Amino acid sequence: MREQRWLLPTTLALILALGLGVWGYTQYQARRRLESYLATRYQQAFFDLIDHVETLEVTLGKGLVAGSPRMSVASLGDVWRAAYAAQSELSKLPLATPTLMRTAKFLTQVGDYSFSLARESAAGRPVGEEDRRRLEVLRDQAARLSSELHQVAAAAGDGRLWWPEIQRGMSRRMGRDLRSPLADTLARVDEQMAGLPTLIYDGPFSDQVENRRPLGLTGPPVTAEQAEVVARRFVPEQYKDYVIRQAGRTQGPLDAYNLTLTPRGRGPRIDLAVSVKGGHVVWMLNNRLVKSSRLSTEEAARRAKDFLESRGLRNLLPTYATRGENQAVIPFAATQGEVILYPDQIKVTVALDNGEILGYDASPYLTAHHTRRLPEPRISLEDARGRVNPDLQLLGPGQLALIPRENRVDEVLTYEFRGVMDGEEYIVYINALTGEEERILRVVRTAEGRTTL
Amino acid sequence: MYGYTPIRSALRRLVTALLLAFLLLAEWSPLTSAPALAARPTLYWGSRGYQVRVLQWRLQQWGYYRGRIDGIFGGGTARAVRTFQWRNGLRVDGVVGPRTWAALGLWTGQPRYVRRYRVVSRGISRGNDVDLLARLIAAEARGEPYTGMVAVGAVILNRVRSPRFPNTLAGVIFQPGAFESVSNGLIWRRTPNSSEYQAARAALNGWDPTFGALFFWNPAKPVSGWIWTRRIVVRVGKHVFAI
Repeated sequence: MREQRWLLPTTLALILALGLGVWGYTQYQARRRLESYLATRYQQAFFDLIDHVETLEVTLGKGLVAGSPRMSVASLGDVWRAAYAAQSELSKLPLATPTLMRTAKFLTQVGDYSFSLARESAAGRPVGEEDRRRLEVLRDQAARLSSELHQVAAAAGDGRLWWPEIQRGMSRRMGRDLRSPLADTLARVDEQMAGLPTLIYDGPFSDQVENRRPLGLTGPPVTAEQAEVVARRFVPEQYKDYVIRQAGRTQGPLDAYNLTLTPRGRGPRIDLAVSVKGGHVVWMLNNRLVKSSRLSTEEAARRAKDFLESRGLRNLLPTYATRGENQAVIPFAATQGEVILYPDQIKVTVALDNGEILGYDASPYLTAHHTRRLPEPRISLEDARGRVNPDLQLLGPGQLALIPRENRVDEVLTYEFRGVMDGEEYIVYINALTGEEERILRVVRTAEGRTTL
Repeated sequence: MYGYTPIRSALRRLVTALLLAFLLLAEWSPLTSAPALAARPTLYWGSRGYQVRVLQWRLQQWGYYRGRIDGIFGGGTARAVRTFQWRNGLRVDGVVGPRTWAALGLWTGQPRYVRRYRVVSRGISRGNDVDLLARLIAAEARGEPYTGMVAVGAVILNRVRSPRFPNTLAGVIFQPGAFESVSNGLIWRRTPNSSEYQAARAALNGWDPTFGALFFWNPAKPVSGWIWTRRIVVRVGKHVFAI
């Protein structure tokens, strides 16, 4: 009797335990499968990385051996491809940001640098002595990196290389420093990359891009109180009675006071920065949401121009426009004589419901603007026009424009031509000194406006 | 993302951000207030200016005009215009109106280029970038002041431009472990609102309240100790931004 009373609960408990066990086991198996799936992805990225770094070393060597421009362009092109691929694989590895940051920089710059050398070679300027020496250093660096990565791979040949990283990813404490032996090893590998030569060349990742000093900041330093006066004078009329509050300082390449304007009652809030040196407004942002679009882009551009002129910013030409979120952004470029200075850019955001100025950004202008000693064009406008692809149906006579090079620091004087080919609009820049084609942009029209790629 | 290889597209984006170019060329840049108008003006003897130069240039290109391209509609230009009109079956009056402009292939009043308001140009769209960036801003900076949201967007774009980080927007955002909200899936659970979209667009258009910061974090939350070795540039709302 007594045994029978226990029979039912015991059976139920057993079934439950069994069910739980089966459920748990399937969960465990699913997790194992996911883990090993992830491990394979990471393993692939890691081995691909090693492969590409090896190719990088080999192709850098070939580039040094190459005697003819044709061969050297080909090898440098291969370097670029291998370096880019390696960088891309590297960024797939589950490592905390600082672990391989120097390595990432090394890979990006090697690729970018050889791409710019390849372009020079293709233009008939062979790789110089200085560049050769740098390439040698880079090759040795790549060789060291490749052998260290091989060692890491060999030390864990059982495919469980990334296990700790995966476990860590599954825990909730992502942000913390959970050191793993692998991360430590790789961090040591990264240390070795510290002795990279400074690379100055014509490419977007060149070293001088990071170390730029603003040229457009003129005048003596201003105090925080003076900055408030500047701000009050700068903001649109209806905000003149807002309360100004200091919001700290920005201490970067461009030192600035941050100021916030808030209404006494309800209304939008405006943030802006005034440079310490010279008291120039660097940027302004108004957080008002715009609910409708009534204004045309032309009207918006006119409002933007009026705004700039009333703030004493003349000699600026509106260039193109993008629309989105019921706002229009209109970049203006400075002019010097007949030349458009594209690096000296100021952008203005206009609300499309009432034409109010919502945003202002002069940082490119303040970084680049100065009175330049522009060279005399060595080839004529007609000459330059003749160098444009004849299939491009030109839309105007063309005109002088100063454009930034790839590294965004150096500048080059060009003739700008707009034209249409196959129903698409392009802008072609011809170097006004050498007659080389400097750059081709394609104009893309979207619902949001026109933009160039 | 643009149909180029990613590094090219990254380069393009950099170039775009700075260069973004084109004006004066009257065509459809209705923006340039002085020389350019939505449609071409009617020109006649005595007209001067940029549009006359465009006219002279085209007439010269097609062999009707041999004088200088000086922007002055004088006898030589008028003769060239008449010859052109006569040869092309237009009314020979020496006045350059819509028909003559059109015959010169330079009329831009209306819809020669129908694609003007097309949504996407042959598979190229910057819409993706805005969406992705707005999502990250929503996940990482909801509740922050507007400037703080723009700043977070700017950090992402600064990373794209930095050699130390991946060279594409998606590369930066999905880099393993880079953003908590990507690791825990918040980025897909939150739908960005208009203010976040607006911030994303401002950042893509170049607004950067941090002047080049590469890191941001909330000092009130546990973060890796390493991050404090970076130089802090500015504090906006709850976040600090560092180079």
